[in-house]
Amino acid sequence: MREIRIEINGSNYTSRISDNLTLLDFIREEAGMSGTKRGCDSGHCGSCTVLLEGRPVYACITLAIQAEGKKVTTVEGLEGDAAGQLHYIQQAFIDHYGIQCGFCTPGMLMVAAALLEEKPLPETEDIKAAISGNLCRCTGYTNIVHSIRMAAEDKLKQEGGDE
Amino acid sequence: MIQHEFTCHSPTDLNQAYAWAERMKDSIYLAGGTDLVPLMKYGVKKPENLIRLDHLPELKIIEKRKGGLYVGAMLTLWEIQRHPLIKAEFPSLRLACQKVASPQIQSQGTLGGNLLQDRRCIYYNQSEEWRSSISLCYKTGGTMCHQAPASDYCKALYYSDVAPVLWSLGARAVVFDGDEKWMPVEELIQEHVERNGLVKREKRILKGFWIPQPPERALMKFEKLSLRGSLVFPVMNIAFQLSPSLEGIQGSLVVGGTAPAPILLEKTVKRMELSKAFTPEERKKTGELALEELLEKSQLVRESGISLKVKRNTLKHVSTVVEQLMETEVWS
Repeated sequence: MREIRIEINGSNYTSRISDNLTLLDFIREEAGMSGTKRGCDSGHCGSCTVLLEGRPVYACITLAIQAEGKKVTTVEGLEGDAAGQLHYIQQAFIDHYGIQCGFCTPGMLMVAAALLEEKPLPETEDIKAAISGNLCRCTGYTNIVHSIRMAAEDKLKQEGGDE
Repeated sequence: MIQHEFTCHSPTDLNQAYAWAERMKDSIYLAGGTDLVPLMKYGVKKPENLIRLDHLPELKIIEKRKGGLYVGAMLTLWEIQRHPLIKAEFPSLRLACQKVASPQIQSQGTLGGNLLQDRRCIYYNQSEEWRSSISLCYKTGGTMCHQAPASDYCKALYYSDVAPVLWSLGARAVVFDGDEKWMPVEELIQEHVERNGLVKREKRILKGFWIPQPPERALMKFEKLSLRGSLVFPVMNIAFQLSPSLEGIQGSLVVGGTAPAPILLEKTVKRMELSKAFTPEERKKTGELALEELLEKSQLVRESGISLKVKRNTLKHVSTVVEQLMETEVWS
């Protein structure tokens, strides 16, 4: 057992853990955040995707100690501009029917957030590449791709309008 | 959580890492973990000690060195594909890094880890419960291969996307075993795949790769064929760097994902070298030779999600790649 500290969504979480604990276990069991989902639990489905130092990773195949002292962002860390407001990508998923059962959605949101941070107006091929490590059994992906595209366009319009 | 318990160690210099690996009887190096951790979850690998390599800054260097580019083994596939020197000079390596699995794997998976990945087999990459109903194979300490019971070695396939590219680029691997040693990357690959078909473990640390500056007029390419764009391993990948020179054709054409090790298509390149002119007929014949050579050297085994017939049909694409390669103006 060893004590480690991970910064999750801007807050520090310190726990005594064994080395065989994954980052997914740490987030769900130690930090008590259940937004990050356990799907395949072997690095295939993407439902456990979180951002580690800004880059998407599969939390289920990342050891918690590999994230020691680093910054992690989970779906709970996505926030809108005002308190209680959804993040603009979350809102776009609702507005454009990017969700059916919703189990893959936290992972999809996290890869979308990483993509739009790097490329504010991505091409459709960029979006498809970004979500290529995430499986969705309901939507057929079309509305997910569309939602991300619309999130990007709406955000740029909004920022342009604010100037 | 991984079912079995182990201890992680975080050395801060190469000598310490190597000394610990030598001293600890059941230890494995941990690079990005994207290959190793799932195997540990499956109970295929149960090391008592993991020696982390992510605290060794000398494994993350990328710089121009001795007329080429030195790339540290612990750089992630994401970092490599974004690096300006890779973008400018080694597009085939950049593309191979972009084509590995998914963005999540590229964020964490490393160049060295991709090259030293475990070979895969439908009888090996299974849960402990599943495997408990079959006898041990070469890779798990037994004396047989379930894919080919008459085989005297493990036939599991090697799917690395970066290995064929580094081989085609003439890269040299830099390893550390108390001293630094340089070796042709194909030698390291061969040693790795042989060891990986047994239960032997590597104690040397892969520090990085030195890639020589491409010759003038070099043609460089990487192509990956897979059932879907991501997540799955290649049905076949092809990499080449070839250039005309006074001595003939320099460079190599390498195919991966079809055998326990990448395949060098040397007969095909030799035929190109001996051809007087790349006429349409000559291009077609050389393309046919490439397929013949590949089929002769590949060792197809059963894989999940793809039949042997589909796999054989996919290999025909090598003829198209060779014909297109011979059509380029660089040879005229």
